[in-house]
Amino acid sequence: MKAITDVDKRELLIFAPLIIGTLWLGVQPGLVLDYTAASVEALTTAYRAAIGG
Amino acid sequence: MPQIPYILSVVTFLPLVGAGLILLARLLNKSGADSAARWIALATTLVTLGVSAVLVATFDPSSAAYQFVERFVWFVGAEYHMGVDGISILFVLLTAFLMPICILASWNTIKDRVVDYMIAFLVLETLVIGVFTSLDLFLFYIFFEGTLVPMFIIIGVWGGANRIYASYKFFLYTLLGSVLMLLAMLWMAAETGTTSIPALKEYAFSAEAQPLLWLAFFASFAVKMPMWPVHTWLPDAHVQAPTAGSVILAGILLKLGGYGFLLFNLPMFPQASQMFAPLVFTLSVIAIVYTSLVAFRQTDMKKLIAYSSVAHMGFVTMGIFAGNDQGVQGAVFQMLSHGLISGALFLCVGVVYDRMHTREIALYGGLTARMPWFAAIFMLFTMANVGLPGTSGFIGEILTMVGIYEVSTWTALFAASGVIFSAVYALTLYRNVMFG
Repeated sequence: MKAITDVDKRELLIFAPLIIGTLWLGVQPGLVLDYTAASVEALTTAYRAAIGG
Repeated sequence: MPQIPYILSVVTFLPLVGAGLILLARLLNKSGADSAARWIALATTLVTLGVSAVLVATFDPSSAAYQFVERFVWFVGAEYHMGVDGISILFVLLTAFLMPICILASWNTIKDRVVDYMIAFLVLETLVIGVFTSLDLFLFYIFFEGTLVPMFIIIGVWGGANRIYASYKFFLYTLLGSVLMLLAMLWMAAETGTTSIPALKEYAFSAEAQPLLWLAFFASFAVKMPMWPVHTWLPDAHVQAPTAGSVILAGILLKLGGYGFLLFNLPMFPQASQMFAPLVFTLSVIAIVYTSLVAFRQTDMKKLIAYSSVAHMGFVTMGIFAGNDQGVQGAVFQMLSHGLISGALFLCVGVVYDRMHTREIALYGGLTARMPWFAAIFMLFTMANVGLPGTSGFIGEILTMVGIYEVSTWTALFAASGVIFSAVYALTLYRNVMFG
């Protein structure tokens, strides 16, 4: 069987931003939630008003 | 921060310009066309990522209004109308973020028709970003349906042995759902006299019209998500697609369904959304529990991750139709997080496939000794997929469950049990591939 090699530099370069993104968002979800908060609140407020009325 | 005029049009159509440059390079120099195509595609996607970073940096997150709006009369009955809010702008960024990764992942593995391959990816990027930036009913429809064509080609030309079957199944499933959506759009435009999505969100559709319109849009987006029981095209498409095709499919194209629910179903047809919410919860729970069990029985790595995607999208649909802040926030977060994690998992499969040329789980085993770095990376994304605290997968699941708990305790209970099933299949996969 041919030797199986570990991930090379190109593959590490591909994984690096995904690793950083996954961990960063996991530790600091506010990065996303601060952006979506206002739009989500407008959406849910209108939704509740529509089904409550 | 530099202000870029017409920034949404720039970020949407830049990839298309790159595709044009690749064609031009082939005309000028036939022998070096493959290499030129790779470098132009990488440069284009990186510039697009840079422009979207400027877009995000200049966006005002404290406002719920659509920003960077561009609006021109295009032809009778339709407008060229673009804008982003705090939700869609993050999907633009996710798309721009994943595309250079896809180009790099295809650098050595795609050897046939490289020029066409890179053009297909760049065209796909324009169409997907267009879905997230368009604010006109028909502009949205054109971009939304347009994404089918490059994806059909990517699976059908560069796919595995059974690629023709998979690409037709993908195309027909998603197209059939969309026909109903087009009918609903035509009816809405005739009824309200506008095709502007922000205006339609304000329009109060009658209680008689809402259920049918809701179902028409649901048919299109439920197939795209995909929700149980219309998910069966996804495992086939993933298994046959090239690695980067799987990354785009799981990372971005599935999100078009969830984005559609947030753009049309929930704000435009609230009464119908409330009426059908129990149906959506039931389908979501079946997706979470049943497809997790199905995933456990898979012998093909890509199929297993595909079924796992269906289960994770169950949390998204559940959160959206919970209709409260936590649910919708969690759904958006889950979609973005799943974009990163599922993309990374398909890349992990690509890494071992390139070395062993099989995806059969039974043929693997003991890779930890030979590939320690890979073992660590694969472990991280397996854990993130399970929803380990400290990874992005945790936040989306917990928020959607908090949201659904307020609305339906039973749904929350079943969804929570699904989290345990996901740990069972994901860790079993890891053990069999890496230790076994």
